[in-house]
Amino acid sequence: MMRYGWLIVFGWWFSAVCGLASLPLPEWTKEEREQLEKGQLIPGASLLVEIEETPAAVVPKKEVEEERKSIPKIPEPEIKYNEQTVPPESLPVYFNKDPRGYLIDPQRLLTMQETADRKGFLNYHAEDADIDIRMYLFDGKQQIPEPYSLRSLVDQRYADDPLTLVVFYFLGEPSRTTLAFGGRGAEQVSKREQLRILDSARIRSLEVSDGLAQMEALIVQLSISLYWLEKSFKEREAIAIVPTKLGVDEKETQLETGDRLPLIGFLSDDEFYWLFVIGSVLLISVSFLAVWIIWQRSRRYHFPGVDLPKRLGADYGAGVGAVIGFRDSFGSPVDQRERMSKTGGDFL
Amino acid sequence: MQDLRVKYGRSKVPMSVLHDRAGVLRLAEKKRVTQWLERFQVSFPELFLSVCLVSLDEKSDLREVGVWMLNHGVFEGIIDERSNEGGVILVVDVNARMVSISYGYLLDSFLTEDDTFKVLAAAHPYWLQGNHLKALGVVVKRLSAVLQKRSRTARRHFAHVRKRIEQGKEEL
Repeated sequence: MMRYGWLIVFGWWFSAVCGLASLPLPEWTKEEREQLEKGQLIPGASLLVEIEETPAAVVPKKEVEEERKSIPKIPEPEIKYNEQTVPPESLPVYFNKDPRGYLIDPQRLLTMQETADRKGFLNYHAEDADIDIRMYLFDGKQQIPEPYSLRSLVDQRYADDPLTLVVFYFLGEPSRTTLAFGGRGAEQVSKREQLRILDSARIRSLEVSDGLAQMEALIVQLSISLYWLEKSFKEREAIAIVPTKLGVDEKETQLETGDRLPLIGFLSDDEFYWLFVIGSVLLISVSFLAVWIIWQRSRRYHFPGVDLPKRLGADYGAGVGAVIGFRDSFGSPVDQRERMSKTGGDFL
Repeated sequence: MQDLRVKYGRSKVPMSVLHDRAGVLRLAEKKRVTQWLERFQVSFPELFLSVCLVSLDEKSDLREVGVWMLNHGVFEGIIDERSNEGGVILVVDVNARMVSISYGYLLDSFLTEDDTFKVLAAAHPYWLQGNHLKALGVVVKRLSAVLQKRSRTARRHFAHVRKRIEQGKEEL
């Protein structure tokens, strides 16, 4: 291949040389040569001919200024953004309208994609759980103006709804998060339980530094907490149903069960009291058992000393008890019992 | 008794409360059994329990060996000096796969052959498995329970027991 390549290159070069040789070259005249030597002739000067351009139309400055003055000024909107206040136009969306969706963000603090992600999870939670989460999103340093508040919102907007967890979340400031339960059955969730849910969510969200990741962690933790809360609700219902079925008066049932949730770390004062009572009873029982065991161990069993006559010359004893064999795995102890007569028990 | 002395010897024999001539227990197991036997002695101040794990020849009889040990053994490892009259000897013949209990005069009025049979029968499954440690544990536990019951009965009805003893004397 290399050989053919060289042949092609050589052929091309040869044809080029032959072609050049065939073209007539320009020749200098005598006058031109003299002019060239004097510097009067510049080879290729014909190519450097200047083109005459038309001058640009210059507008007088005065006219421009006048024209500029004649243009009416459009007043620029004054953007006064205060990072500590909630925009007034957003307040009605937050507090005066029924919420649309589970993520309420009239200030558009999240991007479209982020909003879709958070809404997706909240919708998923709502489908799966009995207690929904409504998350109101504010900027990190914003303050809720008077007379608006979480409590008033819950009382006004969620009083007749099913049990709902309403959360005020401040973007980038998870420690400022507040929550409240609204709707039917909200009074069953004690303050202590609410605090526990809030604390666990705050702690979980503070484990990450990114604002959005914090929000995601908070929602996930809230969802988990609500799962356990629902579970405790169901257990309570199951306990309450049994006495009702047995014909116990409903009021009695309520008195027996109380109005607070049990278990999964949520203990009310009454439950602490009962836990204390049960613990005390157990402790006393164990103490009694321990004392009884110690007493049994330290107890001495005496036998009255009696003078029995020596039998058959034995100094200390001639009492022979049972003799059994353990040769046959299928035979009972009775079958393998050796009677005195069988084994020559007349040795005494 | 003379026949036994001729057969097994006339001299006193030093023995420990746990006498494992057959070598069926491990060291740790021996320690545990020794603890049980010491606790038995603490609970019953007049009694002691001795366990003999032996492998007897064909000429020897389990009952004879038990009674002979009771009368000729000098038992070591007893908390305070106690007469052999309060001794309970458990003899296990690992070769013939048999077990017996012998006891001194002190328990003559309180233990019967049926009592000892029940005690041994409770441990029978473990002996079938060859689990001597477990079997000995059951024997100590059951025998203690029987003797505790007999002791309480004896204290409550001491006069009745004494009467029975006197009757036994007269019969003899």
